[in-house]
Amino acid sequence: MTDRVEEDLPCAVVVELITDYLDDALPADQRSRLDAHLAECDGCSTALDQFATTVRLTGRLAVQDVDRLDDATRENLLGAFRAWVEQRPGPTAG
Amino acid sequence: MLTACRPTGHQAPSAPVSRRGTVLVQNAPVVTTTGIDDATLVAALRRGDERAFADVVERFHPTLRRVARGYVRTDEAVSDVVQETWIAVLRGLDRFEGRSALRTWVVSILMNVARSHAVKEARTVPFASLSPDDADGTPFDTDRFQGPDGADPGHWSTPPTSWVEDPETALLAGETRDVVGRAVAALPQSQRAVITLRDVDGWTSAEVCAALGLSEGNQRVLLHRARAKVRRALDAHLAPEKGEGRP
Repeated sequence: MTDRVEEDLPCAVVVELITDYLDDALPADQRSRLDAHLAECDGCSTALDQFATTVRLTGRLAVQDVDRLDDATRENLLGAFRAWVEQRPGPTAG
Repeated sequence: MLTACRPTGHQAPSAPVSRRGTVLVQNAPVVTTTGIDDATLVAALRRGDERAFADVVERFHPTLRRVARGYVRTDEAVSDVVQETWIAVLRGLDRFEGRSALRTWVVSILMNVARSHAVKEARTVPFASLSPDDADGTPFDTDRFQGPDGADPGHWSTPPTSWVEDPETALLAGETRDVVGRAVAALPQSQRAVITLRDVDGWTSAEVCAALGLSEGNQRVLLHRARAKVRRALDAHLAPEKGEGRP
C-alpha cells in the first residue's frame, strides 16, 4: 500500500513526462497519477499549457518559415527533369 | 510500413484537456494536397509534364528535407540527399505501381539515399546527438525545483508563470512566429527533424518512427527536448514580466 504523498510525482519528473502525456503514451496508472498531480499543481498545469501552446505555435509555422525550396534548387531539379524527359525512349502512355 | 500522411493523423483518440478546459493538441494539419490524385500526377510526370514535376517538388521538398535531417549531419548533406532523391524518383518512376501513396514511396527512396550518405559521413549510428550528455533539453532549469533539503523535494521553487493571454494577437503573431522559427532552426538536426515532422507536418508518432528509423521512446525523447527548447524561447518572449517592458 502506498499513501497519497508517496503516490504524488515530483514536479521535476512531471515536466519530463509532458510529451508522453500529450501523445497519450503513458501507461494508464501513470497517466492517472499525472492527472491527479495536475489537478492539484498550478505550476505543472502552467507548464503543460505552455507545452501545448508551444506545439500549437510550432504548428503555425508555414512551410516557407522552415524549409523553403530555394530558387537555385528548383532550377536544378527542373533541369534534371528536362534531362530525364529527353533521355526517355519516348512518351509512355500514362 | 510508413503510412501516408493523412491530415487526420494528428487527432489522438483522447486529446488531453488542460484544467482550463482547452484541448491541448489541436493543430490544424498543414494541408499540402492540391486535389490531384497520385495516379493523375504520376501519369503527368511520365508524360514529361514539367508543371506537374514543379508542383510535386514544391509540395514534397520541405518534408524530404525534414526526414533527411534525421540521417545526415550538415545542411549541405541534407540538400545533397534531397536532390539525389529526386533523381532516383525520376529513374524509378516507371516502377511506381501506386500500391502506396506517392509521398510514402518518395520518402522510402529518400531513406535509402540518406542511409548511404550517413554511412559516407561515417555516421553509422543515426541520431548520434542523442547522447546522455545532451542535457540542455530539460524544459526547466533544475534550480527551479526544490533540492533534497527543501520542504517538498522535486517540487517547484520557482513555478512557471502563465504566458500572455493570446500569443497570436495581431501585435505578437509575426514576432512569435519568428521566435518559434529561429528556435526550431537552431535545434540539432535530429530534434529538428522530429519536431517539424510531428508539429509542423502533423505526422503521427508511428509515421515519424518509420521514416527516421527510431523507436517510439527515442522519438519522444527527441521531440520532448525539441519542444523544451522552443518553449524556453517562447517563455523569454511571452512571459508577462518580459511582455510589460515591450516597446
